Amino acid sequence: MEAASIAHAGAHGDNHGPPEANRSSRVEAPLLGMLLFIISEVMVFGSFFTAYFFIRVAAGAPWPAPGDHLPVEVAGVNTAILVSSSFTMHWAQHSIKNGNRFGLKAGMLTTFLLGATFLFIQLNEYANIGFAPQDNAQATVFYSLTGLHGAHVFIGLLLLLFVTIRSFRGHYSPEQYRGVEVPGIYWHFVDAMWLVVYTTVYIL
Amino acid sequence: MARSALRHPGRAVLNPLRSEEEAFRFLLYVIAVIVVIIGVVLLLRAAL
Repeated sequence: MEAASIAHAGAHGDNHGPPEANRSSRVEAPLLGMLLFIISEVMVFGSFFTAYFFIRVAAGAPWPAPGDHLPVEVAGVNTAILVSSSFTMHWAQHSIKNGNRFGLKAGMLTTFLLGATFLFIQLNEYANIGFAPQDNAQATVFYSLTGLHGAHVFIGLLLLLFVTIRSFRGHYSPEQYRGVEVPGIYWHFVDAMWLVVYTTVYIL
Repeated sequence: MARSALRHPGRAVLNPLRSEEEAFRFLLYVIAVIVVIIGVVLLLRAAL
């Protein structure tokens, strides 16, 4: 019995720690987690878009409410800032894959700063827009949709900050860059979601 | 379809959750679609 267990432990190399978790999916666990997370996020945004389209299409209410004005141009510049942050994120990822540490650090820092600029302009817009969430249904939906997205940008900025600090501390390599890749996927998702929010809320 | 994708990995369906590179490529497609939608809306508004 004892000989059998020793042989079993020997077959697996090391018998310390818990047994390896069973994996039923071919997708790696961190990517699978991000996949499920983003699917749930799409559903959350979907519920808010439902409220938006209900007001505009089903109820036929004017958008924005009479007397309110949306700063389309400022938000357009802000959109360009956020889109450019995805390009710098891609540059950072591409750099570390090719062993370019300067590109990683510069790309991550620029991405973080562009994202922070986007959030700052968004908050400044809230302060000067001239209507509050409780004023009417349109205002509620406006703040809900843009605020929900802003919360995602804030979470993304925290992730980017961790990656930036780690990259300046010498972490990541051409073989190990998953820590850059997963936040990158999240950041591109946040960016794509903003394009949809901007188009529906400000343009259409 | 899945077998074909396995036989030709270069032609696999775009999955933005598989890697950052594919997520970025997906974002570029979203930008292209959004630009077209905004262009059509602005043209229609100008015409009406």
